[in-house]
Amino acid sequence: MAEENTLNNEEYDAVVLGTGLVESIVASDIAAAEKKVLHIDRNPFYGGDYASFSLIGFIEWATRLRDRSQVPVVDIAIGDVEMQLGARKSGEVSANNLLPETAQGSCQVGEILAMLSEYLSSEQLEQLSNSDVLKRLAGESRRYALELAPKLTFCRGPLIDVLIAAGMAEYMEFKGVDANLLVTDAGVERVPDSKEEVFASTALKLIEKRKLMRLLTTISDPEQVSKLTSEHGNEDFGDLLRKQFKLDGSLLNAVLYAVARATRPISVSEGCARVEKYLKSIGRYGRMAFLSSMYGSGAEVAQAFCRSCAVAGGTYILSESIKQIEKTESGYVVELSHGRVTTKSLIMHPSYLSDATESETEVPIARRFTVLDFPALGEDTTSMLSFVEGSHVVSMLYLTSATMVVPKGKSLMYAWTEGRYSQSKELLDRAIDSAVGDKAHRMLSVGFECRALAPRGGYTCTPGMADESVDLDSAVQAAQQILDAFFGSGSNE
Amino acid sequence: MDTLPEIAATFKILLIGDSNVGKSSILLRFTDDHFLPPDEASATIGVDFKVKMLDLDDTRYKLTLWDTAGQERFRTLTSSYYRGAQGVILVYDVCSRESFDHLDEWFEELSTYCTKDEVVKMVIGNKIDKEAERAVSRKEGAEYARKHQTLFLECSAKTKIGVQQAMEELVSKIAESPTIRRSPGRNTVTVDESVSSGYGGCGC
Repeated sequence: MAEENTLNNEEYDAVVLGTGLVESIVASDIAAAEKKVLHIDRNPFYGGDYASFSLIGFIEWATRLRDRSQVPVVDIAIGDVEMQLGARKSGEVSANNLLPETAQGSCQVGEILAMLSEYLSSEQLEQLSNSDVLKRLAGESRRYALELAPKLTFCRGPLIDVLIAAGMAEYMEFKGVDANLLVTDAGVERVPDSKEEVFASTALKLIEKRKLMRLLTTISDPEQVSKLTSEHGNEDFGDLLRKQFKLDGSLLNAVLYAVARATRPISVSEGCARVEKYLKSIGRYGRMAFLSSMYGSGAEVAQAFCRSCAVAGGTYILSESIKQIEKTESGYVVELSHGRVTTKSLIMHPSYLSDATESETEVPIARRFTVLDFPALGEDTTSMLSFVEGSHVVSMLYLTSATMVVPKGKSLMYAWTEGRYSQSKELLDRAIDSAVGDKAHRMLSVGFECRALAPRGGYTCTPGMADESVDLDSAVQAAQQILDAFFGSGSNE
Repeated sequence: MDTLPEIAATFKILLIGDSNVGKSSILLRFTDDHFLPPDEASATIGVDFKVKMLDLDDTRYKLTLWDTAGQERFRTLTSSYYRGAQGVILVYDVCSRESFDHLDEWFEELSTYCTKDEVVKMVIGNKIDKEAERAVSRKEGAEYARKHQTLFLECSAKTKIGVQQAMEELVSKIAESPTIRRSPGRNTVTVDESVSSGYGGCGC
């Protein structure tokens, strides 16, 4: 069946490069319109910027597979052994010869040590090969789903609508997010995010309850919202909350950051729209505004779209190298390792451009996550958190075995913020410390920076990275723009 | 039986194996008792999964049977395909030595996603109606399955032989197994078009 596995001179309506969420939605939608789609990823895994990995898979990504122009450096600490995986490998002695005999007992431990050894001193290597923490992590590698860009799904929003419309609910399982928390110096506190919460809260003073009720009532009323936006639409939402609704302190932080997620200043119109969306999401599937998908977020959703594309006839190849892209009068000729194909349209993640560079307009995202050996904020729960320090806002997610992303009894805390990793590392650490305290329980800590890659003229490109938003709706909007252009201009672009 | 038995459990069952071994045909034969002639069948397009009730010993099971959607062609099945499966059927074509040899690779892929505590595996040799073209003997198939400690059967999706029996054996083995996670959706949210129209989550 040799001919089955080559693509020689096949013709497609669209070739899509990259299997991140945006590309996958695009591919699925084009295939659903009965167009012939070829969907390619150069990596051996699905998900692109949204990928999720087993523990060993993550180490493999960090040491071997990551795109170094997008993620230049990865910090990893296993127990107390810290290492930095830089842009360039040190290229010293061959790793395997150095592996201490103690590592040979478990092939998973050996596999991890082999990948990391060139970044470690011989003392560290010895220490790590005897590390009980590493043995425990490696032994349950498959039970971890560690994500590059963890996110949630709004109960009411574009993504959930698309999932329902495409009949993809069968592909995925969701759990409600149990709490929206504000991280303060005193620990974590629950955000009073609905009228019921405000009413039932014992932490809020009566006057605070009145202020919040007034805000929630205003934003739940379309007439009052349109009055507010016509009068103050372009003003700063934070100012409006301070002046008109007299919010301050943690109450202001709760509304502005935990609910409206104003990680940078937003207008009154934008702020009202975000709070309104949040409030409308509550009650659809329970008392929470967000859902968390099982086994991870973006990569799982992306794979659901890929399957739906395949069901509609789309062809999938992973680990495929793109040798050459040539523009012709009627489209493109793409030279792949499985053969040469022609296509009317070509849609790609900018990292597929051979000379991709960092975007000058988009701010990078500094990310940090840690695996804890106990359920720090409760077993079987999922929470979203916000940590505010001056003008800096850190978004956080707390996950447990409830969504099957860590083994039973462990937990996972993600934290991210806009900015360079080198400048934000300590801020992220303070956020995690404030939320979970005690450093002794950290089995694995990871930090890295994601840079957006810039598109290049003449090509249809998807966003150059997964953005900093806490939900997946922006990916759907980005996909929609590309689809509008695709279907709007016919397929002759 | 006067009343319909209640559904005792729902099982997700996957079919994997090389292209053209007849995975979709087995699926269609079992669920719809239908067989597409070769010129109509060709490569799988449009088959996602099928639902079928199976009654065994007065117990009713709901089976969702998942096809590969053609993603096996370049070995690009999504990891999410394997999630939450209780049964996996590895199919080869008894007339294709290559498809039989490739079972090793399918077992390897399977082992990266599922442990033996989580799924019951079954090896099926399909197309036994084409006896003259047989390239893998029944004995060889059975030995291979024994080596991998899985169930084994030969069948023909075309003539029906063995298909129903295969499903029954697989399901009863799943039902017997104490370590298999029964209902995949413990406390999960069913995402559907909800009637509740928003604001504040009160049912009033």
